[in-house]
Amino acid sequence: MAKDLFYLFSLNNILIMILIFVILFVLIISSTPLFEKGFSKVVYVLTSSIWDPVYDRYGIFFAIGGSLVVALIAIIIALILSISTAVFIVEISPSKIRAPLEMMVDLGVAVPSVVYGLWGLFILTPFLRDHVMKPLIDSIPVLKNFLGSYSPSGTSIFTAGVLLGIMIYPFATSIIREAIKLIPFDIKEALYSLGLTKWEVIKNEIFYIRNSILAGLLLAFGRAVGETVAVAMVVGNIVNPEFYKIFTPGYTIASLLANQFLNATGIMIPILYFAALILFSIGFIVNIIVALYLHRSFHR
Amino acid sequence: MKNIENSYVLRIKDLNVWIGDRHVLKNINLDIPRNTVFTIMGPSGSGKSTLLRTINRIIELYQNVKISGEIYLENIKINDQNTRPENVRRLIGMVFQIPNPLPHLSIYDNVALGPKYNKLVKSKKELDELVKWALERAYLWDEVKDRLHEPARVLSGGQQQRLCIARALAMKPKILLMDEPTSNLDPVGSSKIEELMIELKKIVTIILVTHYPFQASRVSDYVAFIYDGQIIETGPAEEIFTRPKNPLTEKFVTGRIG
Amino acid sequence: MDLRRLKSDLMITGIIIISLLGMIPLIHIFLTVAWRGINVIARDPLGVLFKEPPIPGSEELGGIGPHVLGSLILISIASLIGIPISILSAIYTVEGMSKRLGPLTSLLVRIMIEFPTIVIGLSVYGAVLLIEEFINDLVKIFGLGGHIYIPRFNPITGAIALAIVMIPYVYTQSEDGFKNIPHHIREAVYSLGFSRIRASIVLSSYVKSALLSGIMIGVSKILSETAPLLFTAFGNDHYVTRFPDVFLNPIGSMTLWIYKAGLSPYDNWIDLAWAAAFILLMIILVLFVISRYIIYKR
Repeated sequence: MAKDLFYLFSLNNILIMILIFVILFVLIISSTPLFEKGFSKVVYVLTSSIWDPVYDRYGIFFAIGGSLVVALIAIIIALILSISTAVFIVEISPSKIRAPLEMMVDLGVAVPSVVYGLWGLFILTPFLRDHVMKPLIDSIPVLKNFLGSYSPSGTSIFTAGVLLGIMIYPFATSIIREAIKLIPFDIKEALYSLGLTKWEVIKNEIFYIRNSILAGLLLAFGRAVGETVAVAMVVGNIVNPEFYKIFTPGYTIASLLANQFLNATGIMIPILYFAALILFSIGFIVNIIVALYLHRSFHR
Repeated sequence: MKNIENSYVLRIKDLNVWIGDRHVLKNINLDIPRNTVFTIMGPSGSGKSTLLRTINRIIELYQNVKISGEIYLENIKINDQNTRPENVRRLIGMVFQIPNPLPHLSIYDNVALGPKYNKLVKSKKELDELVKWALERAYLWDEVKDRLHEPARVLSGGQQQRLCIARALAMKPKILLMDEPTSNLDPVGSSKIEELMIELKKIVTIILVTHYPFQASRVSDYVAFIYDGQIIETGPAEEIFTRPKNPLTEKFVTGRIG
Repeated sequence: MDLRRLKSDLMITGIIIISLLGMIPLIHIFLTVAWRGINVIARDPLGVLFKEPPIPGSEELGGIGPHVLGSLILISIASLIGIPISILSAIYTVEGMSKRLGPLTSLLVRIMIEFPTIVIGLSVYGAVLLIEEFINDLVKIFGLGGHIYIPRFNPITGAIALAIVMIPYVYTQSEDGFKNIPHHIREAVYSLGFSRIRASIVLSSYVKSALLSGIMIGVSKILSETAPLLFTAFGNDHYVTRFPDVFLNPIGSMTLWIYKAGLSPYDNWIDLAWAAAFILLMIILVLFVISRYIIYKR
């Protein structure tokens, strides 16, 4: 067959691939000044929690840890909320309010993260400070040793996690909701025909779609780790080696980039690119797993 | 009198079902004798599947359904608000048109699921025995005993259907509803299921729905012919097939409508 | 037996309570943004839409004009870059039936969709630095003297970053659209002896609702983005009107304004952040309803 001009369309595909390649290439090239300092320096940056522009010593462990703790809190909240909401919408709610509920959740996916951030800063942060962190610490002072003491403003790793959970749960809900809808009706009939109660049927349905839930969870985790502005607005942006004390303010990788990158000089620049590379890799690994493994097993 | 009452395991009185605006079942009255194969036959769209689903109240999963009338299982009314649907379904098992084992569970777990949730057994050993018993009754044990923990989806269509029968039997139901159980199977798979029905009526009453008059004539003790939501004729199988009273019934059993 | 029933009812009640609990924040966000936004805008509707933000410390309300315009410019340029690339490559993937390039694009784009957007902004910024360095090396090699400076913060870099964010959304929707064309339609079109380009155009009009909803989703996505603009568009509280300067100077966006003003200590800035949030939410609501309508009609 003669080659027609149609093949020129493929230039667009090639361009997309080049874009992806360039993104990765720029990150790697721009972090090379760090790699040139040797392996032990890279390990130092990864494992220590220090941000000292005076002596030019930096270690981003506090940000990696902060990112993971924030994402973990978010995932736990999102998981509980999204499974319940998806089940509620598909299996429990009266059919009349089903469409409006779905609409609202889908709209929740579309709300810009910076709007979540604004709401988080002015509504959620003071609320969590006055109604969760303060009463908890006041009534059980020993918790202070594990959770840390909250800042006057209320910004904290915990606040960021809760906000992020609220933010990603509509997304997770829509994935799980679609999966529940795709359960064949004869499977439902089979479960009910065995004399199972509604709850027992729901439990089995959740088990049936566990791969979709896992995929939704992983994708939500990827989003949580990569989210920038909403987190940067409520996490406190303080170098905090004790990032596991969740009531204290801290940093995540993304909020570190947002706050520090344009002030960076010297070795701090490649280190921040390296941090971006880590952020990129976490998202990349999560998505490879979902794309290669889970999408396939959905359709069994 | 009492004796007659007891010889019927299921009695349906003045049953009417509407789905949306459609009057799907009209004034159904049926008495199902114990330990028989009772066949409800009729052309597609006549309402026979709906009738089965009304008996075990699976119909409640559909929307816009309205039901009137009474259904008694061993003289206990089962279609009112005081009886939980799951208690009804535990006593009335069901096998569906398309074999629907739960594909994500193993062969063993498919059979064990009902007894486990319904707390029919006290120990793992008892459960093992029950699973074995049910699979044996469904003529499946010899084919699967070495691979009980493989997923159910590896089985052939006929095997899957027998697995569904075993799954229903494992709950020791009083009645087994079978909704065109062979319509998606090859001839070999179909004849195995038919043999199985004749064997199974010793332990359970079978209500079979089919639109093949020949299948009905092979396995049934009693037959009801349903057309457009109404019972046209009912009686012992032999009578219906040899001396049908209604011309519609005759047309159907000789294959002229269907 | 009754214990089972009780457990079932308890668990169902629990599910309902948790779901309602989850929806409260969502509803609260919508209502708060609407209430505060409308109250600010009502004070001076045209001013909010067109004036520049007030200087810190002043008492006047001002407006977010440069940011509304900035969002408009950024999204227009990003769409001009991103939409053709996405749709044409989706066409190639499906209609070209290539064995490698198509499926590979398909896979990579689905991974790309989840790239952290701040990383995309950072990469575009880094790419500008690398290009500048490369050009200056060339300048040195050819002994031309002088130093070339490429502005980092401008509408073009911002739009490129947004286009990269947008491409996977438009691409996946378009690809799905083309993949779902029934076989008999495709056969009919090709049987008329069209070239593949002509056939693709005909088929594009057949799936135009999928393409349109893809574009809607892509546009509303980049309208919501802040992170990729931090190091590219950068933000600008003033109108830039003279011609070449528009493309060489930093440019604002509504999201950048909400981020900056929300964190600022000035009450009138914060008021304007709520106003921007409301305007943004309204636009997204409109896009959402339109794309729903398109899907519904399909």
